Amino acid sequence: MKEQKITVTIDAEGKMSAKTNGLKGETCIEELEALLSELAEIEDVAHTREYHEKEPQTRQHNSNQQRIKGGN
Amino acid sequence: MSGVWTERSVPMTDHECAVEALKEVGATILASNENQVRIRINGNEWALQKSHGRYSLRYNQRTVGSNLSWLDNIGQVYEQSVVKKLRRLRTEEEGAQLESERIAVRAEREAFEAQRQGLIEQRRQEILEKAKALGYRVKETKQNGQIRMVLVRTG
Repeated sequence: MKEQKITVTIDAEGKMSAKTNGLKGETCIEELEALLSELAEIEDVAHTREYHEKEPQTRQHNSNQQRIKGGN
Repeated sequence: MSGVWTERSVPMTDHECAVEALKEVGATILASNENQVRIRINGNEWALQKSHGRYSLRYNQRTVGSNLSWLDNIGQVYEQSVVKKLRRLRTEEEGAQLESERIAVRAEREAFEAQRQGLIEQRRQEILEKAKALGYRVKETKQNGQIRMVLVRTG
């Protein structure tokens, strides 16, 4: 069973950031939305190679950035 | 690693500083109270609602395009406004002639300073609750005023 990890940081000014590990494709965005969308605008998520990996075989080796939506 | 996200700007918690920052970036204030600030900027009208301890803007990223470029600078301008307000309150507190005046200004300053801590604590709590509901184990550390929450789930 693979480990899924999200590291959320809240700095001294209250600004948040998050990094995900082990979450692929849409799951990455869905998890960030489920966790943070009521607290901040979840947009401009920078995707790394793992995002583009399909479960379990297809791979694309490039980084990309996708704006997913405006939040609250 | 599969995704990295950073909040676009510092969350605005104080009404007076938010209004000052909005004016500074070129907005005209159409209406304003503690719960909502309505503005016009670059020919468009927006409403910022106080929600979860901060003023937030509802919009659809797909349709607004570059109309939101003013948001890129507002965090920095808001921070300057916060520093200025804090300095003013401290000066007023030190210069107060009457003890009652000093106590009142101190209370205002402390409430102002507590707003941000309140937001941070509220965010921490909400993330903690949601993480648990989503099945994550949470390990939390604090360093130099920064909170780091590591959420782990085996899936």
